[in-house]
Amino acid sequence: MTFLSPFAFALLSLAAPLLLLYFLKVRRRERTVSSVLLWESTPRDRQASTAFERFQRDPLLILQLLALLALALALARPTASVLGHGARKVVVVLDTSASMKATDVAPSRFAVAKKAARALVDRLSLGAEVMVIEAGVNPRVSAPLSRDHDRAATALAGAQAHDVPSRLAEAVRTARALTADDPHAEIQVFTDGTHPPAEGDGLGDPRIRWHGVGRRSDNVGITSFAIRKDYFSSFEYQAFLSLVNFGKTERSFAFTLELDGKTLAAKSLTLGPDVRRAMVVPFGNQGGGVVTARLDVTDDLVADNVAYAVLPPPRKIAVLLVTPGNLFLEKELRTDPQVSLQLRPPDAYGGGMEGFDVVVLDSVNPPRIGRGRYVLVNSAPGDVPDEVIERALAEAGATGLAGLDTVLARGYPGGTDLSGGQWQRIALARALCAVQLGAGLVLLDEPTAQLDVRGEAEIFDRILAATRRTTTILISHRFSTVRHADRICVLEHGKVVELGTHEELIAAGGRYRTMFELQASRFGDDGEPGASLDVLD
Amino acid sequence: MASRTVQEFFTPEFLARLERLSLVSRRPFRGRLTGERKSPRKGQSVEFFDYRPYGVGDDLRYVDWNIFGRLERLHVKLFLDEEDLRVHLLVDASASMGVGGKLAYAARLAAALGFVALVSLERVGAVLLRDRVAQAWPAARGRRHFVTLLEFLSRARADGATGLNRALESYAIGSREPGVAVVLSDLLDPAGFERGLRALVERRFDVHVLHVLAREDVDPPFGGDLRLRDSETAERREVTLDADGLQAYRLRLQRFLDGAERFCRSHEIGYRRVVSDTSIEQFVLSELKEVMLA
Repeated sequence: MTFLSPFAFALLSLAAPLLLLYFLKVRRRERTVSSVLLWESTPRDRQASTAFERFQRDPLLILQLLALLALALALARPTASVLGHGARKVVVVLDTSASMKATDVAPSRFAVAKKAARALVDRLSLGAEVMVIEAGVNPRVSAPLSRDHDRAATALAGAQAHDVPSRLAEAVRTARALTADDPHAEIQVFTDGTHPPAEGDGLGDPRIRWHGVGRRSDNVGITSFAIRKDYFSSFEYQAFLSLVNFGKTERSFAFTLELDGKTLAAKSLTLGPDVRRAMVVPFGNQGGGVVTARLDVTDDLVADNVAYAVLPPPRKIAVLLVTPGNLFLEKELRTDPQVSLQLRPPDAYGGGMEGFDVVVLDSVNPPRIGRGRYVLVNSAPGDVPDEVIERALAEAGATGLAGLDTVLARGYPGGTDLSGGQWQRIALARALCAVQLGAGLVLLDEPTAQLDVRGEAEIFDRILAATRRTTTILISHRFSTVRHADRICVLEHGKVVELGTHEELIAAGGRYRTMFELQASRFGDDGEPGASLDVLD
Repeated sequence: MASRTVQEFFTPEFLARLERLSLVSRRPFRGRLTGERKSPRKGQSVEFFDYRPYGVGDDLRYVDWNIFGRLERLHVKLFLDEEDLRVHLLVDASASMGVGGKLAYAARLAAALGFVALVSLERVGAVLLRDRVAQAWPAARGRRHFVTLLEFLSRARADGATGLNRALESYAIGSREPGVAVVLSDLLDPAGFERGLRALVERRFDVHVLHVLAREDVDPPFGGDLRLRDSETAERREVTLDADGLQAYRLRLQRFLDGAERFCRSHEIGYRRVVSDTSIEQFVLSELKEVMLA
């Protein structure tokens, strides 16, 4: 035996002061009392006789000396060199994926793998070091590298298979990393081989030994299951399933789809070997619930014979109908089972969404509606002064088309309809009005498509003047409209082809310039009116 | 000089109040009965006490002839003589009395009692006790002796070992005139005090014990690791005085005090305990007034 830090024995010299301390007596103050008759010596006071006698009587000192000795010994780091075998290192990688639960070998693949791994650990000589890695979704070292075989055995006994896919390659990589390039190391992998790692993962490492468990792969399973809502009806659903027969033989089995125990569909199916089948099962349901898809089949893996999906309970759309009385609108809304309707007379409505999903305003002019989801029927926001509207109409060239209170639909009493160009002017007037009232972004999608060219140029100048302080996104085929923009983006087949100002793009001589010149030649340089045709269609 | 000593000890008001008091003896002393012994104070008033059959040698003057006329038997009258009282002031002057000013307190207490006795014309003697009777002030009567009594008591120094038993025994035997004996002591004697007090009682003294304690005997003002030195035997004892130790001390002290009091009660000895920081005036005028003074 040798000591790595023999200097630690210097600590033993502390014994001397320790002993000295024991020679010290409590220094006592002397007091004169009337009589010591009433005083008794405290029993913990010891009368000193010989030093040796005192030590004998003092187990505390003995204990302290022993503690000091132990401390010094520990700090001196005694080491013993023993001749032994070259350290054999064994890393046990145990596949814990769902397929290990298969019962083609009794009692299950996992139990068999555990047993084999245990046998391997038990066979190891005493000097060998063992490590256990469980290969689940993430590799987990459940017993670090040590000679403690019992610990490895405990880790193996405690391992459990989970309903997860395996990342065996990762676990093997971990094992290789932990053993570095030690040639004595062995990596023993216990798996059923359902998720074979790719060749690039260093699996050619000669230190890896594969132990396969499982004889056959006789399994029919549900590999995907989803429930989707029908587009057209709120209470119609479709269940999407994929079923796969992994086995080598044709299998016939019963398939059931249940909602909270109530059978939605039952079918007898036959799947050939290695056949995947997708199924769509439509069903109707008015509430939430748990949908269970079940295969009544006896195979090696039970876990994938059942699948579940949860239907959230549908939420109704809260609609507030503010109307002085409109039987048709009310009836219409009430027929939709998804709508929970609440009626309110106009004088009880103070504006705002009031927590509803949709507010329908019928023949109501609320003072202010703000942001939200509104359906305005025969209504106009009442907070816009008439002169603002008049001015916006004038700027859009729509003055005198109709009175401000005229309903622009033929169905209403006194209602009238407008032509396409007139509608466009009205729409522009509305946008201008919004700008006037503080809108920060104006989106104009072909705003002048139905206007004649002369009218267009005139109106467009007005729009530009009115929207000077707002961001305006203008979508147009007409280059005469576009050229006023600060930044032009040319789109072709859904992709941005060119980007820049009119001058830049003309100078660039690309797609924009070609089209601009083509279009301009139609009208002539002097802007003489011609047919208002879209060049690019 | 003399009057200054007096004033150092007592205020004039206190003396004036003492003057109106006198000592009470709880028993008439044997040998004071008229006819048994020749009284040194003839002509003093005589109080009838009892009858007794005539015996040969009785003074014929005391035969009650009215009784003889009725019963034709001779009886002599017995009288309780109002003889003066002999007062013994026994002050413990051992070294332990020096701790905490007990001796000075005892001396003042003795002086106060002596003053009361002298003023009421009792015969007062005082002695200092150590391991035996150390010093004595011869018995005297009359107010004029108060100054010398005071000087005797104020000169007392606490010194030497106690031998209360021996000192009291020898005093009891040596005293020819038993009377009221007031023992002023802390009773802290390794050999005990019971035998000495019993000797006084057996000699028919009317014994009072004024148990004087110092404040530091009752509440030790020290703590921690101590070496305690006995003031008399110079014996040393090492103690570590913490809350438990203090508690134990108090318990032992209480047992000692209770034992002393029980002993006195069972031997018809008057017992009063006083801590030396009590005012003398208060102690004498309120506590002693009920038992010794009237």
